[in-house]
Amino acid sequence: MRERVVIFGEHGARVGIVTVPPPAQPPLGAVILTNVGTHHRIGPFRLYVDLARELSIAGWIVLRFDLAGFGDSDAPPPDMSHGEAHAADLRDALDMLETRFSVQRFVLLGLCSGVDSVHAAARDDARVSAAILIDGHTYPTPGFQRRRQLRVLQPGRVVRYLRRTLDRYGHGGTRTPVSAEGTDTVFTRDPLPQAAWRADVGAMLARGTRLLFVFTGSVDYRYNAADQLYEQLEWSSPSSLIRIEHWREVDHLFSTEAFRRRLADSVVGWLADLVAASEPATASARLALLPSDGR
Amino acid sequence: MTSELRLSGQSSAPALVPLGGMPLFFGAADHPLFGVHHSPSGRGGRGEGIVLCYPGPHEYRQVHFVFRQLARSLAGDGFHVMRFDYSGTGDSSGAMSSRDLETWARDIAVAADELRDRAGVRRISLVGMRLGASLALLAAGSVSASQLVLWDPVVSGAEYLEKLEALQRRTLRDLHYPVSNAPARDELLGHVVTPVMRRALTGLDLRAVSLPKARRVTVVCAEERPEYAALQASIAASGVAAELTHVPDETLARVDRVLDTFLVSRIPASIRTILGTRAS
Repeated sequence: MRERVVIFGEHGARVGIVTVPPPAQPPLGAVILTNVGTHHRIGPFRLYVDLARELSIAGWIVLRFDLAGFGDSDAPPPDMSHGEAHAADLRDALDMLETRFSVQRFVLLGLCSGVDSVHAAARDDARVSAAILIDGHTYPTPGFQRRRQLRVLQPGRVVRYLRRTLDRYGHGGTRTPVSAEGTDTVFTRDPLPQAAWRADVGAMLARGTRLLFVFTGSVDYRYNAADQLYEQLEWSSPSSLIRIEHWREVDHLFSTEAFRRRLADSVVGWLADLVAASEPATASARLALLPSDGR
Repeated sequence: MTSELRLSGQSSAPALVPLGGMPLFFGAADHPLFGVHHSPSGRGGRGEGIVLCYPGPHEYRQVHFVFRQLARSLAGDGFHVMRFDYSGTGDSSGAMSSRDLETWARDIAVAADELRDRAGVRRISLVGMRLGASLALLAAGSVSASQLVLWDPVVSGAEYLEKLEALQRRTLRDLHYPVSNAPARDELLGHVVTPVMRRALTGLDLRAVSLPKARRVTVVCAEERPEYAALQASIAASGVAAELTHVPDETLARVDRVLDTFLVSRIPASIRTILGTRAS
């Protein structure tokens, strides 16, 4: 595994780190990690550094870079909105990886506000074969409302509320959660209308794009059941191209090693399944090369 | 080791140079560090270098933007500037579990050597913030630092640890259901703090550190604390020119306050003044 600095971009310099797998066999493709909120390319608690290294060991080229206006990259051009600039940045990133590293399979990963540019690129760029969307678009469905009403009096929720309230009175603390890395609240942004989101997801799936949706407990106020995604899509049956992970005890920024480990394992495993599903002939050929005792 | 830098685009196109400085990997091939080198803008330059030393991981994110801006400003003032990530932090090699203060102090010396090689400068000053200021003081001798600027230094590592632990207790208490961030024993606010690091921090007391041979030391602080005055007095008593500069600033984020906003502080401007008027 080697890490290299890359600078690219047609609309100003974009700074990134490419993690390249060991040269033993051709890379499986490239994974691109976009900025999380105001974090630069390392991600919260160095999530992206560790994830890139894990994915690289699994055979992927990984690019984590700063979109326009973030980290060490230049600001967006004055005649482009942030959304337009970020869309252009992702196109330039795919172009660069295609040219410099001969990549043909692309996977994009976005967390929080990073979902916006990933969603748009997965919709618009046919080179994107898969996307991982963490705490992305959510829409309160009738099912969400019913479940929320039923859960108000859950013992765990009541105990936590009482403990927090009593501690606050006892310690004279503030209502605002504090953290050295970030608060427990989720960044807000202009939502994509649900109808548009449904149409976009439908278009991605029609093209064969595989999607991994991950929802944490930090968005419990908007997403409170694993299959709520299908309620949002208004589909009665699941799609084989979609996997949903719903981790209610995990927070938005994955602020423990155990949470980061879980995300890495899930992503690496899902991508392995993606490769196996898209290359069955290759997988069979690899199996045929194994010694007869299975080692 | 030279950095590996690949540029996209046509071979005849000019190389892209980010306004935020030139990123690079440097140091040992099996243990590379990541840094960003800012060259002086405009004509000439002072022929001097500055290494910016980030705070510890718990305060790193809030300062990344500020250090980028400070580095650009100092480059505009004619300095070569290097900001870099310690081992096991940022983009540098190593895992969280590999972090320790001794290694980080050596990393500062490696960064200074890289800056001397790249920029052709001999005189290097160190500017450190919070734990980075403490590390700058520890590394000053091996770097042969010309000047030290210590921005809100962590004078007592034990007190610093206690503040982080208090913040963790409050964070866990204020979690919204159903999130349950029970940290492992060696974790503190999302970062691994190994027993080795914990012992090093507990034993850190700048008032007991061997004093640097720097020409001048300036302690800059947003809030007057007795330990800063004690540190300045301790350094001055050894015969090294030492000053304490208080720059009142209510917007400066601290480890015991909400840290989800960018730093907007007048201290970077003070640092430029300190370095600019005293460089020769």
